[in-house]
Amino acid sequence: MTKGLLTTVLCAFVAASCSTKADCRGDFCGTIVIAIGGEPETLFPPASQTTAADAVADLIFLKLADIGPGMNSVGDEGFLPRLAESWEWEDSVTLVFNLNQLARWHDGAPVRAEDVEFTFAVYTDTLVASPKASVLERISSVTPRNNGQVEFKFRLPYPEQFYDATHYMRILPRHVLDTIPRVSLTSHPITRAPVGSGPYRLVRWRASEAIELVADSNFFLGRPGLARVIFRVTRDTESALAQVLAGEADVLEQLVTGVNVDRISTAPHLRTIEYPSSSYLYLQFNMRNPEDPEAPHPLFRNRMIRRALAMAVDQQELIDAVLGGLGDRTIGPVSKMLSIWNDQIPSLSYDTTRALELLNGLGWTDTDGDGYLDRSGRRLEFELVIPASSRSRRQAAVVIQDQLRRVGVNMVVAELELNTLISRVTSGRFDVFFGSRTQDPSPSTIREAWSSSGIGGANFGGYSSSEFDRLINSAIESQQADSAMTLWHRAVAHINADAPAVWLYSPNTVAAVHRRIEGVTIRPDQWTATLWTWRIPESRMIARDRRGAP
Amino acid sequence: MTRAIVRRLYQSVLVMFVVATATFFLIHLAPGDPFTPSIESANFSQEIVAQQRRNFGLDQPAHIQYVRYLQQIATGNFGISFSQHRPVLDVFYDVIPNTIVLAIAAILIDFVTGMTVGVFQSTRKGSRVDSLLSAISLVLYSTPVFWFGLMLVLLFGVTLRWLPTAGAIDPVVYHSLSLPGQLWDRIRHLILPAATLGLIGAGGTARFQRSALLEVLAEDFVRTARAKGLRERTVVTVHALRNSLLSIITLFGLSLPALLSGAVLVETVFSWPGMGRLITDAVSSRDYPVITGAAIVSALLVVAGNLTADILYRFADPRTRTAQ
Repeated sequence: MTKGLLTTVLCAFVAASCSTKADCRGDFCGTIVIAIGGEPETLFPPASQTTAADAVADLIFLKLADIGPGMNSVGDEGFLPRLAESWEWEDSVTLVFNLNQLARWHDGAPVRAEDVEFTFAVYTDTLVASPKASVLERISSVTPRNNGQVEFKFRLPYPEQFYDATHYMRILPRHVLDTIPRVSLTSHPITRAPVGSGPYRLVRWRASEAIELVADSNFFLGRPGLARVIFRVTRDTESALAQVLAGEADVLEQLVTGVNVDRISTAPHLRTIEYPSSSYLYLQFNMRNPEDPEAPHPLFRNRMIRRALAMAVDQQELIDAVLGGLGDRTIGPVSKMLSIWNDQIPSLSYDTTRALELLNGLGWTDTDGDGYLDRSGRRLEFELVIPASSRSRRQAAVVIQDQLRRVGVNMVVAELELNTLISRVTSGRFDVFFGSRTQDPSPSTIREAWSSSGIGGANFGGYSSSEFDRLINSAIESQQADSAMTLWHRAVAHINADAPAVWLYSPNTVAAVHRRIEGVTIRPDQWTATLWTWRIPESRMIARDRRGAP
Repeated sequence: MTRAIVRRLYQSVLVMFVVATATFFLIHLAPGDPFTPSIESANFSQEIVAQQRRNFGLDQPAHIQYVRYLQQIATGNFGISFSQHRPVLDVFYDVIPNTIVLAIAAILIDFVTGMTVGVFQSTRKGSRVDSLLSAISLVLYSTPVFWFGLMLVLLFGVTLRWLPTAGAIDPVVYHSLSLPGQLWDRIRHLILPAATLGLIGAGGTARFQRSALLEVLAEDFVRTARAKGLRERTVVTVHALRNSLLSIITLFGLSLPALLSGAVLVETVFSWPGMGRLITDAVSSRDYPVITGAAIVSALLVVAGNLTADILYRFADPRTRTAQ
């Protein structure tokens, strides 16, 4: 009796779990699940600081124009119309956008020039404290005109005006947000229930678990290829990998290691897609004495020591050991995504003989036969600080430690908790920092990280070279694309020769994608930017694509 | 008994105050700042950081922040999460039910399995089955929780595909299911994480139960019960087991905080949306309101666990009632 009742209840549960409320047909039905490495902290674009937030926001909100596949950030060539269907330059500091008259907010209201003006006001309002405010400083005003036009005025002419006007701001709905006090805008409930104008709208956000978006079938730039996109929050890579292998998720944006790529390759329902990374890794020398920031560093003030250490590191061995070959030797502070990437730029190559000669020439020799170089009774050694949370950097540090030991240099590795590391690096209390830098499509971010103007900010090592500053400023201000490229290459060659850091590698990003998904293209700086053009043909759909579809 | 419970509740208020104060000052003393921008990005504006600190009152001296913080929590307001830009209570509301469900399921598996195995072993002391079960419980007890979880995921999720590998629900179908369907979906997602936590705990519980029951079975009153001609099952389950429960109840009181800390790893392995993951994220992002709020909530759960253990003591052992 009891057994029969239990069986009945179980069957009822199973039957109930199979029920569906919709059965979608056609080529626009697909549902994909994405295992995303972090949860967006907000879906209010001015406050977002994480790649996860930007990845989701890029499907809900639109910019005026998007950078093209060539990743050119100079001028307006290659940019793709989004909310603006066209634009014209009235003079060197006045840019006028013509909004697409078909553009609509998800609540049906038309997108107006006043929305663009409001967006600029919000992004630059000190009460909102948007992290993007500083990159909009060279725009003096945004003013609506009649007939769906909006005018941007710049403080001065420069090559990346168009990029600044379009890349950082996702346009916000004034009619929804205008009544909310600016100071409470970032924590208002509307920031977790956004109204956008992009190809997808938010259906539900289950905190710490999943974010579900549904296609706006009336999207003015064309119907999105997938009916539903579900971001499943999965912070652990192993867990994310298990989900795609088990068929519970369709996309994992970063496989991180070669071992994971091999595991995906064995799954018949998955394929891998490799695309250039927007980041590069490096060992940054501190030019200042960690004990006394006013004094130069006892070792790294010497350019020859820095060059010798750079020549003692075998980048290819690192790439093979840590990334399983999935990366490229870095040519200066440049990720492979940037348009200025060129592997012909002169750089210091791996040469332990020459490295040892340089060190011997400076008086560093192994006088006591312990295998390490010393001078005046002091061993040639320093401390490398790394984030303990980064497994790949911990692995790489061990390999580099061994490579330096071969030339008689003792590198002590200190694994630090992330906040402790940030505190030490930003206050200059380190010898060498194992850093990773993620870049925007604009190469001008190199200036904040490596030029004199970045000292006290993102230039943690305090490297300063007037020639490098001159070259990089000229490159940024140059109106001619060809001459700008030449100047960029000269600047990179100059910093390579100075060796304020050992440039290590730019990892290639490899994504795992279910084979039934077609038209997959990935933009290196924002991998979801073209997701709305992905599709699943009806013939390849699986149960997930129909169950629960709207 | 009511008076004793009320007294414990008063004591718990003091515990809450101490936890809130200690957590507040410890987290403020720790290196790092909630609004320090990523050192991996070049857009490093000190002005924006200063403004963000002003917006959340972090530009004030620590003692002023502390007083304001105490005023807030006295009214049940834990503030706004720095990293999630929403009230901390809303953040907790989303994750605490998941943690409680996981903890209850794990405790059930832990104690039902552990006690059953422990009783079974103690009635067959020295047999091959006893040795085998002792070995299994020892292995389980010493297995790292994340490794055990990963193995279960690989076996039942990836290879056999019997059970889901992650999350508390299936976001694709959950909202289109009927109520029983949603319940079944939740149960399916709960099985692996609860089994991971529960079985590892059961290894320890079985060993505790075995030794406690063996100790009681050697006492005079058990011999008397047997001499009265009672059946062995009655002797064990009615007379001996009840007397061996005191140490198990102590273990139960201790297991709640242990489950909360163990859940951090299980929640990571199974992408379970609970308190453990929330706390680790909050600590790494220096989200002060969430950290302090979570410490208070965790302390509350521990106090609740101990209080439950106390009440159970009183039921299990009449001497503790008369001692009052």
